[in-house]
Amino acid sequence: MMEKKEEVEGDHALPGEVHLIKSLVRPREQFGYFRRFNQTEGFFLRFLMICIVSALITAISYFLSSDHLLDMPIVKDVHLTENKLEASKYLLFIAGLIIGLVKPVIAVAFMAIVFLPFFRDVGFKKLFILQSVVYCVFMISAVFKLPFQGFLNTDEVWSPFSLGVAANYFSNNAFLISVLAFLSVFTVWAFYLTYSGLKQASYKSKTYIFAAVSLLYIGFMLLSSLTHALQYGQLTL
Amino acid sequence: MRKRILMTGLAAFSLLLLAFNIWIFSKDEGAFARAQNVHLAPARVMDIKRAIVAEGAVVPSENEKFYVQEKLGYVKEIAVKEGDEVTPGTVLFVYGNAGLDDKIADLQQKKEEYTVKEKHYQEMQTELQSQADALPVDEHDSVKKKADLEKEQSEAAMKSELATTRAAAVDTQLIQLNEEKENLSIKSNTTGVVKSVNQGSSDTGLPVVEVVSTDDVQINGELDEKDSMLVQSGEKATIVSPALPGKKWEGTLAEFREATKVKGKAIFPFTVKFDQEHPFKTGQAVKIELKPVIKEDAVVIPETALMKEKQKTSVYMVEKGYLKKVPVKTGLEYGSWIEITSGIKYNNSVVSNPTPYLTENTEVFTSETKRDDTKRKEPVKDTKKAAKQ
Repeated sequence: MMEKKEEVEGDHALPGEVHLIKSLVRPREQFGYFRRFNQTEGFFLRFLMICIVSALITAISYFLSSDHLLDMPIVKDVHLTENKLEASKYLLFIAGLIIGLVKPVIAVAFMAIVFLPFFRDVGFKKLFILQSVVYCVFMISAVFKLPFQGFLNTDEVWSPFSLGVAANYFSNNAFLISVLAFLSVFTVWAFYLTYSGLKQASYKSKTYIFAAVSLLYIGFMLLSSLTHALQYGQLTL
Repeated sequence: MRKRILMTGLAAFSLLLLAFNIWIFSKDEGAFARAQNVHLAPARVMDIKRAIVAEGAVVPSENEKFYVQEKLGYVKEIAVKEGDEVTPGTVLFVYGNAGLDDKIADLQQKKEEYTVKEKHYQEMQTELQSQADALPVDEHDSVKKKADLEKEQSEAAMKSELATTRAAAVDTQLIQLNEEKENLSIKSNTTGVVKSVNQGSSDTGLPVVEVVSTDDVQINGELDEKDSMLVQSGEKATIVSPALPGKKWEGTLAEFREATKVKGKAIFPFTVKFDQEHPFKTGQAVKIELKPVIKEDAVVIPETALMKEKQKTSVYMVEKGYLKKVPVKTGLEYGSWIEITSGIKYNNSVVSNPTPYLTENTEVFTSETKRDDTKRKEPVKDTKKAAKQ
C-alpha cells in the first residue's frame, strides 16, 4: 500500500505542492494528490512566476509588432513625430508588461469558470491550478511565435506548430483557417493535460471527462473560428 | 514503452510540421499572419500588341524578270540558256534596232567627212602661207598678191574651224547613240541562275529571261485587310517552321506589295527579310508571327486581379492595411494582362488573386503591409515612360 501511495504522489516534498514544470510533462503523477489534498503549497509563488513570464512574453511580442500596432489608422491620424513613434514602441513594451501580468489571472479564471459547471466535484481552486498549468503550454506556444512576430512585425501570427499556416497558404477561408490553426501540437498538449488532470481530480467517469473536455475544446474552436470568419466578413449575422 | 513510442511519434510529427511551416514561410511569409493573406501586383504600363499569324513561303530574295521592251527594238540575240549561272553585269540578251544602227553609220560617215575637211583646210592654210612667204618683198604686185593670199588663208582657217566644230557635235551624238546601243544589251543585276528563257514566245506576259538569286531567300506572305491595317513595314516578325518545331528566327517585314482581290476580298501581300542566319531553302512553307502594337502606354493589371460581378468590374486595393474595392473600366486584353482605362493609375497596387472570401474593409496582410506608404510607391521598372502618370 505504501509503495502505491508513493507512486501516485510522485516526488512532492509536501502533500499538495504544485510543480508546474513536472506537471507539464508528467501530469498523471503531478495531479495525483488532487483527489486527496486540498492544500496548494507554493502555488501563489508559482502563479506569480507565470504572470511575470507572461508579462515578459507579451511585452516582447508587443515590442516586436510595434510597427503593425502603430500602423493602425487611429494612430496614423494623430500624426506622431519620429521621436514620439520611437517612444511609443517602449510604451507598448510597458503596456505589454502590464497586460501580460493580468492576462493569466483573467484567462485562467475564465477557463476555470467555464470548466466548473462540468466539474463541480473538483472545485474552482483545483480547476484554477489545473488551468494555470495548461496556460503554461500556451505560453510556450507564444514563445515559438515570437521569431515570426519579429519577422512580420505583427503580433497576430499563427503558431508554427499548427495547421493554420498551411491553411492560410492555400485558402482565404477564414473559418477553415481558424479551425486548422486551432489544431496545433500545443492544443493537443493542453487537451492531454486537462484530461489527465481532471481524471485525477474528478470522481466522474473517464468517458464523461473526455466528452466534457472535448466538448469545451471544440466549443472554443468553433467560437474562435466563427469570430474569425465574422471579423473577415465571411459570415453575416 | 507504448508511451515512449507515442511521445517519439508526437515529437517527430511536431518537427515535421515545424519544418513544413518554415518551408511555407520561405515561400510566402504572409501565410503566418492571422489577417487574410493577399498578394499585390502593381499596375504596369506597357504596349499592347496583337498576335497575327500568317502563312508564308520561302522564295528567292531577288527574282529578276526581263520582259520585251518594244521601244528598244526586237530581241536580236539571247546570250544565255536555262541553268546558266550569271553574275551582275552578265549580258542576258541583246535588242536589235535598225534605225539606231543607221543613225550611227550616218553620223560616223559625217564625222569622217568633217575630219577630212578639217585636214584639207589646215593644209590649204599651210600652202597659202608658203606662197605668201615666197613673194618678193619690194615689188608692187607682190603686195597686192600677198593681201589676196592672206584673205584666202583666213577663209581656209574659218572653214577648218567650222569643220572641227561640226565633227565635235557629231562625236557627241555618236557617244549618245552608242550609249543607247549599249543599253540594248540587257544585263543581270544579281548573282544567280537563269530560271527560264522565252525567245519568240507568243505570250507577251512571259519574261524573255528570268534570273533567280542563289545568295539569299525571303518570305512572301499575305494578310487580310484588317490585319494589314495594324502592321507596318519595319515590324519585327518571328518565323517558325513546321519542319523545325520549337525553333524561331527573327525577321523584318520589308514591304507591302500591291493588294490583290481574291474572291472579292482584298489580300495584301508582304515580304519578310531574315535578320539572322537560317536554314531555309526556296519553296519551304513557314509561319510568320507578327505582333504589332495596337495601343501604346496602356495601364495594365494581371487578369486574375479583376473581379466581375453583374457586368461590373472592380479590383481590390489595400489602403492602410484594409481592403478597398475600386470599380474599374477595362479595355483590351493582352495575354495574362488586361488594360484598365479608368479606376486605377500606373503603379497602384491591386490584389493579384482575390478569392470570393475577401471582403471590403477587412484587414489584410501583404508583404508590403510592414513597409510604409512611401516605400510602396517605388516605381516599377517599366520600359515605358510611366512617370507622366
